[in-house]
Amino acid sequence: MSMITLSPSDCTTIKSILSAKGLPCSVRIEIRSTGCCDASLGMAADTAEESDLIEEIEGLKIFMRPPLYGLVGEVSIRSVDDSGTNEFILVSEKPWNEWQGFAAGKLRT
Amino acid sequence: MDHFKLFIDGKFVDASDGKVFTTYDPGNDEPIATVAQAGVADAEAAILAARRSFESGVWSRLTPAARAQKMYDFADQINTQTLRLAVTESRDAGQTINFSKVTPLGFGANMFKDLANYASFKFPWEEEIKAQGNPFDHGRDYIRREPIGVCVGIIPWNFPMVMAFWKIGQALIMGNSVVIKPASVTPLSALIIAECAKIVGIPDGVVNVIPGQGGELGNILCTHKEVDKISFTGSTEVGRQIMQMASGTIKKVTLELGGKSANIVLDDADMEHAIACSAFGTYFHAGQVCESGTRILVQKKIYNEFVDKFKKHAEAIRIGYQLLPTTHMGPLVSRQQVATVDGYVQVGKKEGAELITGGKPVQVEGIEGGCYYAPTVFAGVKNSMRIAQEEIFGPVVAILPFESDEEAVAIANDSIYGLGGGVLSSNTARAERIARQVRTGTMWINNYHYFGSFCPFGGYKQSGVGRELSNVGLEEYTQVKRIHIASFADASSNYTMTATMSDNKSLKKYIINLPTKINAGHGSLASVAKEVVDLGGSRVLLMTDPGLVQAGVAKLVQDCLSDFCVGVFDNIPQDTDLETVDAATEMARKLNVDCIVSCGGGSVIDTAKAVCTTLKNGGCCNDNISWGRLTEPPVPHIVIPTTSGTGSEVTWAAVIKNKVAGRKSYIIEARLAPNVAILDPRMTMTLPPKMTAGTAMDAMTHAVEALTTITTNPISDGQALHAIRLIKENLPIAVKDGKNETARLNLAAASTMAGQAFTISFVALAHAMAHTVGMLYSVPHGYACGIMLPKVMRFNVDHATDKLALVALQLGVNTFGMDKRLAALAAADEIEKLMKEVGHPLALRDFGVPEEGLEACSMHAMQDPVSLYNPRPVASPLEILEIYKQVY
Repeated sequence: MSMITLSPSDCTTIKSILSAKGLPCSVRIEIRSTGCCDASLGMAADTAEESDLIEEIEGLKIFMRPPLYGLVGEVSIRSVDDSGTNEFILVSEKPWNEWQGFAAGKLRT
Repeated sequence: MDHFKLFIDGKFVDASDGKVFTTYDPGNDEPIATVAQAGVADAEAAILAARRSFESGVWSRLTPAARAQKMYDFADQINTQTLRLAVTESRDAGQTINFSKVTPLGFGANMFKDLANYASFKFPWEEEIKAQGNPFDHGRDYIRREPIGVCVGIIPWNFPMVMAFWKIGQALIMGNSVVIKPASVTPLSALIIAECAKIVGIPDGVVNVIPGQGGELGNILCTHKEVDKISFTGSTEVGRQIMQMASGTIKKVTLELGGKSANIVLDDADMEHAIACSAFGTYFHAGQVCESGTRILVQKKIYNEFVDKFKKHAEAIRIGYQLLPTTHMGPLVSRQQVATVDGYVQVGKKEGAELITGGKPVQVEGIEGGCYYAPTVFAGVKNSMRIAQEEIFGPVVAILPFESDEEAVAIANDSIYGLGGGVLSSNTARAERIARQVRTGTMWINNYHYFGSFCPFGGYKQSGVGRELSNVGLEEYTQVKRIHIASFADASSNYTMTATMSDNKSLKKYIINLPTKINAGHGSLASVAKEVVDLGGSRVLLMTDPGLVQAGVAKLVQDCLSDFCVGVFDNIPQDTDLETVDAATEMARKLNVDCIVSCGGGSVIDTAKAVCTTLKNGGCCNDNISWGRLTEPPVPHIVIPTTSGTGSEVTWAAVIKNKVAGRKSYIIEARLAPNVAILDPRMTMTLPPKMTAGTAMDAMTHAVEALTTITTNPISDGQALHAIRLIKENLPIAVKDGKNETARLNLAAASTMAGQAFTISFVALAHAMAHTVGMLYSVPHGYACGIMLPKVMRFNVDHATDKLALVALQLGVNTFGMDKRLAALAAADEIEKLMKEVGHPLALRDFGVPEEGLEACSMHAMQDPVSLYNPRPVASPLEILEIYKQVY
């Protein structure tokens, strides 16, 4: 089962952000509320729990809660190249909100 | 099942690519309707339809009153469709029927009527600018507010009907055309509102509604060149993206974004009300409200009691299907939102907050499916936790303790948001003190979620930009245009144009505004009481100086004023200052003075002028240092000069020393001219010979400079030239015989005429230099002027040759056969001769000015605004320094 789509260069970007802060090489895909415009997907430095679904890409562990996977399906993660602000756009396989792929979020550390 | 179409250019149409989506009832997961799903081509069509309608003027160029009539019809149609709107909104967005049934009237029809009426009768579409704040030039200026153009309204799913009312109503009332993009999970009410618009005949293209995915439509709506304004209600994250996209074409943007508002419960609050109000502040519409009070801050003394009672209250909230009138709290808007809320509950538990009730989805009896979530309470929350910092948008509250009012404010302000908030207390003053300190757009005291058409709504910090509703919100839907009409259709009416782009710096225009009535002659002092009456006064403050009190002169005036005089202020120094004006103003306020009579020299008169404007306009003297700002006359002012030099009895100016700034400040206002000047020669007879000479040379400098500035004109020339002649002929007599009434009256007339001349034509470099040494080294103004004048005349000789040659004639110089330049130089020589004759000082060193201070003086004088009017442009402080050295 493929849960995450992530290019090698974007994977390196995430790992270097975590490494610069001395954090373990693992991130959680989570729901981040954005108020009355719907929630959006976000990404946070975290450690996996037993019940999480986990995928490892080039040494980076990416995980999410099973109910969330049920709602959103596969998630693609793309670095916002020109922002210089460590922001990523997360797009889900199943429609998550109407602003999908439109809003970007920072990697929470 | 109903099918809803897009509303574009006055027609209901399917999407150009035929796409359709289904909208669901979150209370039971049942499909409600199919809806055409707009794509980029539809958005383009809607934007262009809006643009066409705007440019055609079919709506934008109606008068506000004509638009108001249509908006009243629109409002009435909304009322007609109330039940349909209410049920549709409840089914689409999950709002309880008890709320949605009042929304069309309360937040729609009523708001339309309120704001349309306001725009029709009270909104300042055009405003005259009575005082332009430009001291140099004249003209009529007015502000005109115009519709912006095509406004895009992007509205959220929590209150789709209210938000559609707000975005459509305000935009249309102000003459704009709109494109509305409702949230795709709640598109129906906006389309019904569009139907209402069509029924009442809102012109085609003025209202367009295009449901669809924000990700697809957002880009075109926010970047299209034909869109002028975006009004977005939604999340801070999306708002940030919209702002970035809108920046490409510099669109006006108003954003109403997220919140994490603090509801502060003080230890003196009514406990039962605090519980009910806080629960309403949190759980209304299942917490899906951007300004919800989702952080309840409770004072420690009552914290435990509050938490216990709040838990019981939360558990008693009746969750149910939204169309049942017995339901307190309906469903969340979607399964995704349930997952979001539950995700945050898990985060809260993980962070160590104490979940004391709720925290899980619930099933409503008799309903299969539905997006219900239990009212949830976290206690023991720290403000740094994510559940206290992030907007959950569900029925989840964090209760935090605090010790002092200051700590409550600090916690409330420790948020990236600033949208709403509240204070619950039985002490209104205490609650208001807190409310004023919280950095947020709305604070409710002993209330929550209270809105009104005339109450602005919007956020501080990352909660938004701009405001909705009220006059402030309406302003957001207009552009401001300033229209200027020059009073003189001539290049010389623009000082900057002449000063920068013309070799001839002189300004040909002139305005004569000399409103002061003059009573002159022996015994004219007796007229003062009648003048007070004519000016409507009855409580006069007499302003004078200690010398005049001692000499008995002030007593003469007081006697003439009789019972009108309610006080005497005599503590005025030789060079008045801000503090003196403030002290006199305070006395005048205490005595309820309605007229000022000043008796003295320039310092007394200028103090009185400043008091008159400060009394009228409020504040202290420093608040009233103005140049062309006054739009109403100050308190009436009668002047009785006791010197013949300043001309202040008829001028618009007052010079006040600002000790802190180390400069003299000017009030220059046409309205500052005294109402009456009484020139009674007897009042000047006590003036000693040396001061008679000094003050007369002040008048002489006014006259010569008024004659030679870049704003000179034939009328002021006449006054200046005759003043020069009178001074030349009468000053030696008055110095020799101070009791000579004819000479004294002639000098008074000369002073007044010179004052009128420079009021029209200004003064120049000699004054700039005199002001400086007066300020820095206390050189009396008249002496300083006299000392500077001949040297400045020579400095200007090639730029005011003709005028200075005329001065020579007035001074009695025989210029027959003389070259004009030589005649001009002879005028300067003659003035020095006159000064010697009357014992006037000739050098700055006589007044203790240090030679090493001259350089600084030259810098100050260069910055004195009157130097701008000098006939010879002053290019460098070094030129001024050279003159200072000559007079040293």
